[in-house]
Amino acid sequence: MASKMHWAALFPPLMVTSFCPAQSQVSEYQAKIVLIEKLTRFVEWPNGGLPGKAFRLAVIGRTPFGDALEDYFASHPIKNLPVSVEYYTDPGDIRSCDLLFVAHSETGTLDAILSRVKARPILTIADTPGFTRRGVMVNIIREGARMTFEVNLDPVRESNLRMHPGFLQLARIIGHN
Amino acid sequence: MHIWKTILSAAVAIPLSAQEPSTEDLKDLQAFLDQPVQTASKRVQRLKEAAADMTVLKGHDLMDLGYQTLGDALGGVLGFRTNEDRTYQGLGARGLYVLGDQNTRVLILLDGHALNSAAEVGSSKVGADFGIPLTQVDRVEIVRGPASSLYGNSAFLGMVNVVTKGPAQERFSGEAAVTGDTRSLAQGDAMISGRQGSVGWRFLFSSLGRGGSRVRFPELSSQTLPAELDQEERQSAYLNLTGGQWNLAGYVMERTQRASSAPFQSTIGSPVNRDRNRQAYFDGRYTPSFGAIETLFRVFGDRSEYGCDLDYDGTRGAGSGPYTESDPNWSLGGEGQARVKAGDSLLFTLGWEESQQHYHGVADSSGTIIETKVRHRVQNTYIQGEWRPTDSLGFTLGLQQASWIVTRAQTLIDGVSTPYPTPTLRGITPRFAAVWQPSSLDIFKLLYGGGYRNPTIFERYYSDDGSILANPSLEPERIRTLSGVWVHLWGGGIQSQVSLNDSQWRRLIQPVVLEEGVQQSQNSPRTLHGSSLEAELQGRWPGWSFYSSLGLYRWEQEHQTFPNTARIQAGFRLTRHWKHWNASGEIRYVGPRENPELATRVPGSAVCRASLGWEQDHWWVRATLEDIGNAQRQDLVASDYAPITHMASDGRTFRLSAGLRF
Repeated sequence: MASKMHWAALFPPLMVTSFCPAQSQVSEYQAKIVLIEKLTRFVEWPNGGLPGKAFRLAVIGRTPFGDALEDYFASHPIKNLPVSVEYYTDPGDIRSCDLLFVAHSETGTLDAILSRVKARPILTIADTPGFTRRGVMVNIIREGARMTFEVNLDPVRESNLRMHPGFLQLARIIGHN
Repeated sequence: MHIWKTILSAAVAIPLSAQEPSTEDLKDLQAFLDQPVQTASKRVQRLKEAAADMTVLKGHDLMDLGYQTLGDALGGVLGFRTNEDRTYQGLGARGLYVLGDQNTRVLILLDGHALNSAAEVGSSKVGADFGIPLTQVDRVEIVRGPASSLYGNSAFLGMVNVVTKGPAQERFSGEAAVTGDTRSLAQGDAMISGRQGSVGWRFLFSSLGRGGSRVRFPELSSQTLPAELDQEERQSAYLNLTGGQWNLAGYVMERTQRASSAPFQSTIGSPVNRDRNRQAYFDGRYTPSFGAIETLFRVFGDRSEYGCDLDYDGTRGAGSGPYTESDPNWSLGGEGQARVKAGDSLLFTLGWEESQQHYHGVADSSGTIIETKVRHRVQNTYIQGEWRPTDSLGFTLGLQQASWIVTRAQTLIDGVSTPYPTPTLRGITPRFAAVWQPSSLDIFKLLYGGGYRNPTIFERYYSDDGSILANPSLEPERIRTLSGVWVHLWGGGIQSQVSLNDSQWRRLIQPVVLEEGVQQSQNSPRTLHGSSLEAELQGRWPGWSFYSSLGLYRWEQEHQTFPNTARIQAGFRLTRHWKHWNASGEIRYVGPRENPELATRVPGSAVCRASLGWEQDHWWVRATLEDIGNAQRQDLVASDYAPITHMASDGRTFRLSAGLRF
């Protein structure tokens, strides 16, 4: 008879892969992934839409999502387009993408990252306090047991992205210069 | 602030257009933001950051390729291959399949519950005797290398955890599926699932029948094999109930194979021949948290049984006459575990497990009644510390002390008792892992782990009227493996892994022929040394995914290649998804291997599989063509099966399956 340490003890984060919002509680990283998908419904890219056959989602820095981003977006299209997920390790790597998630690990290189995407139709999203004021468009933050998000309208305007007014009503607007 | 917000919002707001999201989307977003979120780690490990060498097969991978058995699926994963003896599908790891091993060296878990048993007389656990339809599997987590410091006995060469799909979120849902193939398979599966308040439940039932096989064995001069050769039936059921902090699971399975083509030394294809496997367990878990301490309390009970009716005509080395056997093993046990977080960077896990077990095997060999009775106890105590000094560096150190305490062991032949000495076997198994992630695209791992496997009751205590002798002094076998792993994310959805592995396997347990017709399991005095280079490349783009693997292996005892070692194994699979259609193709290759005992050398062999599926919300249909060519024919068998030296091959199989969901 074999002894079995609880599987979660070895790989705790891998135990939960369901993203169904009907569950009583979802974990923070799951909620952020679902929120990213939901947020994109309220954003319109310039010139009538997205140019590619796939929605290009990129993460720069140490991903907080493990492998879950690929798992989720394998079955959840964005704007009716299949989602390709890419990872960048350096601001110089940033190529053409539609959404860039800036990980917490990029606190030191954020300015360089934002200068690479400045005025390009790339929706920038982060989950680090203070990143919105520094120029990230959407910052997912936690308030108590719930998630909310901040929006910095300046880079949104510069990039010619458009956001739905109802969506902005739900947001905390940052950076109104 | 509100004025600013309104003015500035208007500047970037989307004008009304056809693409405007619906008010439902807005309500959905609002509802989602109102939903509480679990307090959890802010960062989740990538699978490849885990302190182990592992691969995960997703449920849709299993569906896409149309695999029929768990063994079929595992055979395409880096480091694994199957060996078919037409009764049990053996699982080889890192190029080696020890002939006659009935998966005693790879731990198979179903939702975390071990299917391996102490008796291990005859079973596979990954063939038809695995009772969960693959359409109901969420994922299969596969660890290469020993993991006994965490999972104890049997996690010797690797571990496989099959995670079933959880209960439905809706009040009630269900699925029914049927499968048939050109090898006279007929399988029906049913699943119902639901939720009442906070309690979710899921019930599976599966029934499988396979008619006779028409294979031929070139070694046999006469081919008058019966129509019911290898005829097989299996019924299984699985119930899972889950609440907030608790989970209850129950599993029953019975599988019978008639006229099996290669039962031990008995008359090939005799209609009398019948192999039977029964397995049942219950598993109850409660996982409360007390502040920073997460706990697990578990109770479980198992019953596994191998049984057979065999016809011996004396032509295969054994005596003649009828033979029946039944080998049930019961166990009842419990486990307690605590996970304690100390600060942000330290996590300790400690636990204890014990089970009381009872084995009572009864064999009737042409009127001679042979009984084997063993009362035994398994104890495991384990501790593991995980230290993450920085976000990019982590260390894991684990130790497990295992004890196998046999309180009584005896053989009775026609009521005459032969008691055996009952020494307690104890051992400590270490584990060390260092994981370093210098950038978000690279992961380096240094893994050192031990594995041990207690002798099975069959190997240690089984004795009959002369052809098999007990060996109560048999010691556990042990393995130590050191692995270096490099994982790299190439961008564009491509990920690679390269690993170098070195293993020292001591006291290998194998049957040894003492004289003609008499064998005994013994520890090999020679160390088996294994080394391997493994590589995995996988990628995923919208609509496409691929997986490829390559392993180069060497297993030697005193500079002699160990029998049945494949020097090379490789595999490639590609899947294309459209909106409803999906198409997959797979090819696997196992290199040549030798078995000096049988004076045979088999060439390499390839297996090809193509599958086409159509899936809608409420139904799906899938067609799969498998061409194993001569691959099964290249699977060697133990000397017990003489004069057969190779298995017969099933060649090409076309399979059709369809399912309904509601």
